[in-house]
Amino acid sequence: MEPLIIEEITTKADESLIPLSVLLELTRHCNLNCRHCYRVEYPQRKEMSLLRIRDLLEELHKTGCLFLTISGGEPLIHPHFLEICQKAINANMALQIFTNGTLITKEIAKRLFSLSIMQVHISIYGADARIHNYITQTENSYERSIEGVKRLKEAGLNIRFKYILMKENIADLSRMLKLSRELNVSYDIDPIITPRDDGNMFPTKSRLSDEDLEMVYKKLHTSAQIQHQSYYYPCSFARSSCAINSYGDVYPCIQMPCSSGNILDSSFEKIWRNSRLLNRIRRYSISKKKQCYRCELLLYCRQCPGLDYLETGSIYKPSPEACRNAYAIKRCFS
Amino acid sequence: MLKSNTLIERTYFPFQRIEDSVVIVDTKDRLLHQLNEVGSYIWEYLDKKPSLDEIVDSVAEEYEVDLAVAQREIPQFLETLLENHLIKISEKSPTPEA
Repeated sequence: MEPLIIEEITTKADESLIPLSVLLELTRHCNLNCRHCYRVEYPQRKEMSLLRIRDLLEELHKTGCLFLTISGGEPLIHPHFLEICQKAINANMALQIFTNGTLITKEIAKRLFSLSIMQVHISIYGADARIHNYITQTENSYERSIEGVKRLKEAGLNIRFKYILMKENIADLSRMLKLSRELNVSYDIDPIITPRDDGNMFPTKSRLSDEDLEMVYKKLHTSAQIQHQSYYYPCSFARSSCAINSYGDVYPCIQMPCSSGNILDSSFEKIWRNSRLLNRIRRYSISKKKQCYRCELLLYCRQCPGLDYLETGSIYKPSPEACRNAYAIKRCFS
Repeated sequence: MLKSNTLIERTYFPFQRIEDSVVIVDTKDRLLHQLNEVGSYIWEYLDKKPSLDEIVDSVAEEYEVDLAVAQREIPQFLETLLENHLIKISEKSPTPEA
């Protein structure tokens, strides 16, 4: 018996098409209204019932899922959030949660700890209330998120900040890193702002300038926060990972909102094995992406098919934003 | 030290069979463990909360291995699981006399 690194089992799952890692969106509703959010609500569509979610959790484990991410909207808004977490744990899946932290009470924190949640990711957009609340467009959201973080830490949970960088908060970056140190919370930094998942480009107005992007990558290079992936298969989408939105649509990835089937019409396993869309995506490789294959920026490119799809409508056309980021990274190295 | 009548069960850790091996996520220490084919068989057999003897018999039969070899090697494997807090043990209550 030996400790493993995640890449080893992901490779095995990629090759055998096992949905090792699934993101499950419990609800699209959110108590914040972030300027850059990709989420679009469709009030005419019905979200999955508790009964369907419970069955789905069993199906996911049976089909091979080990790592389940519970996300939203804000997942704690879901009236059965804790019950769903418990069910996922009972189904032998390792759980992580994406939340804004504003609804974490002491009781919820204790309960999450008792469930052995692997990690709780909290979105923070600034080092103080002024910028964070401006971005979330919600009064007191910063104070409530930080209070949630403290409660989770007090209960003993492993927390990680998700810092999305944009022109509204870039001046706060150093203070945000200091906040992480002060609260002893690790972090991920992402300077990529995606369009909304209906194609609306409004959030992209918040993207960093070329100069700021380069500055960010220079700063992050030393702390090794940017992960370079294999650029032949840029990620595990549709091979060992996928996402299910709150309406039951199975996506190859949460950043690629095209439905490969709906779990209200079919079992997850049938969709995963038989979907024509997923099977077509599984034949994806960079060598088929003519504009990128011989590009001098390929080595520096994060190659996100979801971003390509959102920006160009095709996973085989490069997203201009991916090119801009690759260029900023290249300049850091030169 | 495991005795032949020691009962063995899994502690709570998420796990999944990936092809021919079981992968266990130690959510406390943030480690992944992978078991080989026989280890994976034993891990899944722990569903029954069996005694050490029952595990040894089952493995010897399933894999057609010599009983003496199974009696020597399986306790070592289980001790490793125990050290990593992946299983817990209890003593089997003696059967009441009639």
